[in-house]
Amino acid sequence: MPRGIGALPLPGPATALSALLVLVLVAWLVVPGLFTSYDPLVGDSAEVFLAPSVAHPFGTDHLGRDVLARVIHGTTQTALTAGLAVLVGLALGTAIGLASSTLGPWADAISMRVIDALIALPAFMVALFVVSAYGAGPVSLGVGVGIGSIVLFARVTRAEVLRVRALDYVEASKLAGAGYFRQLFGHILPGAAGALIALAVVDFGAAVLAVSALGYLGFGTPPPTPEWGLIIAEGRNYLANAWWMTSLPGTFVLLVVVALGVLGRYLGKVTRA
Amino acid sequence: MSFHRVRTRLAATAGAAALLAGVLAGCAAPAATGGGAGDGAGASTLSGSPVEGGSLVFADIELQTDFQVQKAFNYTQSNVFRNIADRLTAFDPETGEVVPWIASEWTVNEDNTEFTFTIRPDVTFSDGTPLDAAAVKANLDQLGLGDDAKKIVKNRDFIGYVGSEVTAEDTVVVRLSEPNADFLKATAAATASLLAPATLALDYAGQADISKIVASGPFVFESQVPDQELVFTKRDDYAWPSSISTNDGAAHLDEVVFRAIPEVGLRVGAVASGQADVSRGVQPSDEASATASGIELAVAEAPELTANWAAFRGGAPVVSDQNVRRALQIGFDREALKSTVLSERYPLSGSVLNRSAPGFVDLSDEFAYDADEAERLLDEAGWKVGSDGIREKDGQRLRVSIAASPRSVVIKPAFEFIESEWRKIGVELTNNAGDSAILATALGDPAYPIIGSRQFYLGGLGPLFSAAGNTNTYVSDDELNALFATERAATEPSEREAVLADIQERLVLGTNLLVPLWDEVQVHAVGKGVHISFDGGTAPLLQEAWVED
Amino acid sequence: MLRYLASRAGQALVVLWITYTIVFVLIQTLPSDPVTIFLASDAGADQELIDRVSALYGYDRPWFEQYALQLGNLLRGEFGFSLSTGQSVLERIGSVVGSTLALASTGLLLSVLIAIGISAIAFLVDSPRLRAVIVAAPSLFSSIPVFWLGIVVLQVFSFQLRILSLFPDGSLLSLLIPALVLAIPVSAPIAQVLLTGVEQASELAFVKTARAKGARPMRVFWHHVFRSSLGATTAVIGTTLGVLIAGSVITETVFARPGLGSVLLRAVIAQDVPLVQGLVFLTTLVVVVAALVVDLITPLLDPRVLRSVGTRGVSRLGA
Repeated sequence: MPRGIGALPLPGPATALSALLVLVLVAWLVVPGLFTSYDPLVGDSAEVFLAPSVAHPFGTDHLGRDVLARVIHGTTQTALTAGLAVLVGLALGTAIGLASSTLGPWADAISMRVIDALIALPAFMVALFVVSAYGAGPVSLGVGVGIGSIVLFARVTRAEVLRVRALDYVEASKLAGAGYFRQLFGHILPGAAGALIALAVVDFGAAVLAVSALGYLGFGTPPPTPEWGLIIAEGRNYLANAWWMTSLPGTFVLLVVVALGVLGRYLGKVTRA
Repeated sequence: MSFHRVRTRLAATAGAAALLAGVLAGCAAPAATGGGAGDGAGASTLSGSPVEGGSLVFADIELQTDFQVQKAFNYTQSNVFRNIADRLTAFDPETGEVVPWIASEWTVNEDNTEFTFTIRPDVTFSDGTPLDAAAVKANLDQLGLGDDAKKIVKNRDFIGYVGSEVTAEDTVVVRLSEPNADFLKATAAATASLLAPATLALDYAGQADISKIVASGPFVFESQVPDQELVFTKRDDYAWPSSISTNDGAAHLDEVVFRAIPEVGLRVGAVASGQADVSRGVQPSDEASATASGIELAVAEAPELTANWAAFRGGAPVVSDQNVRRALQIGFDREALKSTVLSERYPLSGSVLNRSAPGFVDLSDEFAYDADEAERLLDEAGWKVGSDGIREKDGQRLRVSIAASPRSVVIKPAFEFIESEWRKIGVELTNNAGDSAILATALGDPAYPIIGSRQFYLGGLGPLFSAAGNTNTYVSDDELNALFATERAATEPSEREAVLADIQERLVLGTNLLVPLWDEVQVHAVGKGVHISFDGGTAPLLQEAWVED
Repeated sequence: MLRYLASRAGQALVVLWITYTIVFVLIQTLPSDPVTIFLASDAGADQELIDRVSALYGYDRPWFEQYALQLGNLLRGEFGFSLSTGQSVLERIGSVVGSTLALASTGLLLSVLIAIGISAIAFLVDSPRLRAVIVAAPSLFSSIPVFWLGIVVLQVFSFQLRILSLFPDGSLLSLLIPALVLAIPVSAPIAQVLLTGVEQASELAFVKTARAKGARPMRVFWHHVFRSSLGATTAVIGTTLGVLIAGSVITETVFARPGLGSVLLRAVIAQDVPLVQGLVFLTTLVVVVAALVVDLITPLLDPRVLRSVGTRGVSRLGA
């Protein structure tokens, strides 16, 4: 993981702000209704294309819906889709990484070639293909996008396991026989978990953007379900006469992605320290 | 603004045109008097005297790679075909009549099974070969019979086609195995464009390749950059436009260039900044800014197409219940739909046909907005309102989904609006409009509940909604099929009109299989000094167009 | 060296084979067979036609036969025919690949320049605050949706300033501007590697000495900092090719440029499986060959570098 400037794992103001933002998101996820009084699905025909104001901080859209309300209520769907993508990458990636680093040289050679293949495979093409074949929905989007992050998790897992194994307390006992899983879950995975969590946090932001890109190409969560990626992608049609519809949610997601990056790097540092 | 004023002027000044009109008067529709249902149909910015020369950039919403003529169902294909190829007949958007083009006249036998076409003399394809009776026969045979060896399917409108016979140097007789009065109109469709024998000899891939297509139209393929632009140049010796063209000779323009602007939001800007002369597919929310920046909006009406509708698949879960279909039909406020996501340029439709189409009957009072009645029907059908406002029956939610082409600029937002309206009566809609991949599978899946569309129907409504090959409703309704058969066999115009009225009523009210939405129109942004008109299928008529210096 | 070369080439072949298998499995898991899906939207298609086309493409055979048959065809360089146009897959791809290559290579070049620029400024700037801002740039760059940036750029350069043609006109500008939009997200992982290099190098004694002695800062940057990061940079470029491809698809769509992007989109929409398969396989081939080249030249640039770099590029879809 990249080390930031200054190696101290004390949270700086940027980290604190990022954590705060993520807390707000969690709150939106749990009780969205507390943060907005507008209906994210049904708009007011008399209030279409209203510019940002106190009443509508993010303006309104082509159906007269409050854009901020859609962003707030969209947290759920976004978390589902991007979360699934991260989960797919994490689960398969970790499995490949572990196989590569703990099952001997042959498994390592094979896993490394699989990793190479996944690097070479144009992930975005695969995601497009999966989503178009199965129809856009949280599952197809999550899996399609998740395939692209298997590589990252596999490589980090492998590198982390090799690092952890070099540590004294693991080196003391050999990885063999019945002790394999105990060893795996007792020492190796906990040692690698920090880096993996850090990567997962960062990957979540990347997944949101990937889902948005698919939405732009016409493969997004079908309306009316609000989802960040699609809000940004659909809003771009109105950039000329309602700039806020894509730009404000876009800026918001940008902040979230950056915040997740900051948090991810911080977590990486903390777990290494 | 309208065609006939321009035409009158031309007829007065151009002797040749007047002469031609006279020769053709025997079988052509009487010169338009504006009395047709489609008064003002086909937007036109033709005014003033034409300027010769120059180039026109027509920005479509996409460029097609497949130009196999039977499959030219899309605007992007018909827009090109209208300007590079000729057809046996043409459809007059003002009168709704079929008028002469390559066929200078024709006769039909009593039971609509034999059509005799007289082929205009001295027409040549751009490779020099004559467009004579033999060439017409070759075209009709491939359209009517398909060609298995070349992987070319039949034209779906050529119902019952048996074969053609060249009975004289300028005469072709077409025989059908069953009556089909709509066959004549089918020859006016883009999907029946006439191609040179050399092109017909190619296999599917060859015929699909625009650079290999040789035809007899006013423009000839010049060059292309794949997926980027198509360039056509004027054919100097062109002299056989349809009888309704305001220009009886070669095109005014030297060159036309087709390009594509897939991004909806960039289409007005492209014309405003002078990078395109005409741009198709302007969305309603951009109309105001377009007119504010001095751009003319040309609204092309489409009597050759049906209105926009949502079609229920009769066998699909939930919507197989006619009460549910009726409830959905009347369960949204069309006026609010128009004021929210459409514009004044989109007339709300009163039937499956556009208001400008021949034979249109206005049924709009019969499916007017009535939320109470819709809720009553749903209650009656056993769908009870659940905890979150969506109705349920036997633990199943009242959920439907719609698929539609992404090519329409309004259908997706329209269904976003309808979704919020249906929600109020307890129906959940998944709006897949705009997802082409889902559309492709939904078209082939009878269990997919709703398809949103509008289609060319010069071959009649039968091919769209009868049993065979009907991917719209997947319903074979005996009463409807009987009506289609009666329509195809009808010989008197009044008789046909009466049957057509019955068909519309049966589709919309008898079976509730269709939800009429809004009339099909294509809104174009037209730059200053650009003079252009459109045919009844919204294709640009570039042979008549010109650009001021 | 020869042995190394042979073993790397062997590995590359294995990688290609695995990729082919992954794609094959994906296609086998489709809800129905490619021909049925493709022809379903065609009103004129009946079961007989579907069967005939299926037989023609071999989709009616058992999966293991298809697997061997298609693999054999690919090895012989036969990529089959597009279902939607009947055109040869190679011909279809060949007609537009040049445009994509021009965009992608220009984009890659620009992204490297941007990354070098960012790291050079970070090295040269004294103010820690300013440096913090510059260091944050890459993560910002990878968080901007490419399509949004592209549309804004078109609105500004094409409609307001009117210096860029909305339609690609072959001018240098109409290549450079889309390439720049593409380069923004691609530059992020490269810049991050270089910034790490800058950070580490700044701590090195000889760099400090060189700076203290008053050597020209740019000279120190080139000779000490940049050069030591060269190997890692080359390695990470190998892994950004995926981002580059994804970014190209979107950039091409926004700027209406012909290329693999539009071909892919249409193929995917039409469920034109042979074409998608050909596209994926050929793209993989390019990436594998590029990675092979990178692997072969990396030791020449920096013998210390082993193949362990590049776990940081998270902007994988260029979104």
